[in-house]
Amino acid sequence: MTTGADATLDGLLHAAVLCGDPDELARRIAPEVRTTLGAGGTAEIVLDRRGVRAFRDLMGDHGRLRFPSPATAAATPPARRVEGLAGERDARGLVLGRVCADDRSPEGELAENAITLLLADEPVSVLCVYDPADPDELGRALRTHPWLHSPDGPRRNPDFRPPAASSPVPAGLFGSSVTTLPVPDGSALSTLRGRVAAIARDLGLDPERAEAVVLAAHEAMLLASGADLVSDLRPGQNVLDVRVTPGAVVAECRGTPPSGTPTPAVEDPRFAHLRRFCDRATAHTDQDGRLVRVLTGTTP
Amino acid sequence: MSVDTGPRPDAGSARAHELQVADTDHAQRVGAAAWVDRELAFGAKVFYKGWLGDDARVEKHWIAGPEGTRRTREALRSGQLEFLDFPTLIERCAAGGDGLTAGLHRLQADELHRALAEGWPSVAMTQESSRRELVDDAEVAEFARQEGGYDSLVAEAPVRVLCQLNTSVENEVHVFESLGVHHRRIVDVGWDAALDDGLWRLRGDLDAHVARRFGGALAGALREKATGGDLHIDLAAVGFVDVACAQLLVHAARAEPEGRRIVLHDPPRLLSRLLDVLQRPASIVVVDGERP
Repeated sequence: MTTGADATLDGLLHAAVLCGDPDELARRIAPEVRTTLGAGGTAEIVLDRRGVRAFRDLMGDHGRLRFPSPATAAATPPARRVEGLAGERDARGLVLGRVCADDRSPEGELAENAITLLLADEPVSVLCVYDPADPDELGRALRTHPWLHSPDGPRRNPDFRPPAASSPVPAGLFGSSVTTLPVPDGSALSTLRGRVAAIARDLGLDPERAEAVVLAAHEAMLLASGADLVSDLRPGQNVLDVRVTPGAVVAECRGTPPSGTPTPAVEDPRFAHLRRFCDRATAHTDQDGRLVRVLTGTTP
Repeated sequence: MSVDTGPRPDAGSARAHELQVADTDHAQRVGAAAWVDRELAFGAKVFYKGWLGDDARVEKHWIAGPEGTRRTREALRSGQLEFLDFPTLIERCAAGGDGLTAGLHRLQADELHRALAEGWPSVAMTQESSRRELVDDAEVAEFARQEGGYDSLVAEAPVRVLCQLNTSVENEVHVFESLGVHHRRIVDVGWDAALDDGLWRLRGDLDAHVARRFGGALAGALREKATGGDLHIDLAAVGFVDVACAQLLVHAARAEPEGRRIVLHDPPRLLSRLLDVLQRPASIVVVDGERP
């Protein structure tokens, strides 16, 4: 399992920071930002002018401390908001902001769920600032964050409701489903590739990106079925669902590997390989089988 | 001699020994029926070796029924198509007392010479999946020698040979070895291979579904090169290679003796990246063309 709720600190730490005062927020988070920078990581503070000033006063300037504007972050799909954070020696990155909190529509909550699901394997801390004095904000913060930030460090959030890792996935989260295809055995893999290639073509992806989308979806289906690195697709109730958002194409592959399949999907070499050919990949195993999602942005 | 005078499609090269791979009985029959029909239309004498049911009557075989063509049924009656069932074949081969392989080669040569003496312009031979288990290296070697007999005939006269491989009735060893023996010309599901002027030309998609078969063919191609130079593979007509098949190339290259290389010509765009992900050894060389 690699949902955020079960992530270790090797993966995503998606935590709510319950704090309504910018100066207090800066004081609470500054030690963590320093730790991140000291370990070679990159930190991004995505706040309004007052919040940025509070951090600048405390932290000064640092080459790996950045202050992107909230408007820029809001225009970026949630699953792509931590790009460019890879630091030296693969150090963890840190992002702090309240872009989702400021979006009071249902999209804001969906964006939090997208972060939990799609960035589950990313070595990054995403700290979302919510005002505890606002009952709506507090409710959303508690619902959508697996972790809560506290002065003693992160702690599990008992009120967290994990987003659905299985279909039907809300269209607002991963886009509308544009095709669903049963893939009962290996001979159907060519149909899967043809279907994904047609979608990539319709979206106007450049040829290399389109081929990468096809390869990632193909490998994801093999992985979901429980096939090992060189074997054929395991026959079963394997299903491809392709979803399209304005910024990305998501191939969702569900398979039913035999119970007791030894290797968790995320440790499979195939998973490591397919991640090189998409922007995001997650794998989940639940009572319904194994679900592998690969997301590729429509622009490089 | 009676030859159908209907339209004659292009029959390709006058000499060939190829393997047709099918996953099911139905696919095998469709492919074989089309091949036999084309050979008959081209005016060839066709020798068909296959499995009959318990009553050993060719009239009951699929080729004499609706799955065959009208031309095939007429050729069975006229003698342009001769059918021999496997048990009878084995009996005749063993009768010489010098081993099955020698007996088989003698029988095949007799068929060829008889057909040419009768004035047929070309000869075609096909056989169904032999259902041999190939339990040890000795059986594998004998299988290779038997297939080599077809190569000798093709070198001698205008003969076209189609070996049918039905993966649903053969074990993995048989499938792997069969692909290796026939690597020079293979028509599989979704991909094919042909050795042409020292260049091993592949076409189609190489994916996990055919990976074991591709691995067998690759092993055969490398085996043939065992005392020669580099293996040059033309991938210009290959549209897709997945991790499983790329991994086979990497493993094969690592197992090659020092100095021998696998040279990939015009690979699909992503294959170079994929090979790098798999830690491509220096013995795999990529020669890029300009793909659109």
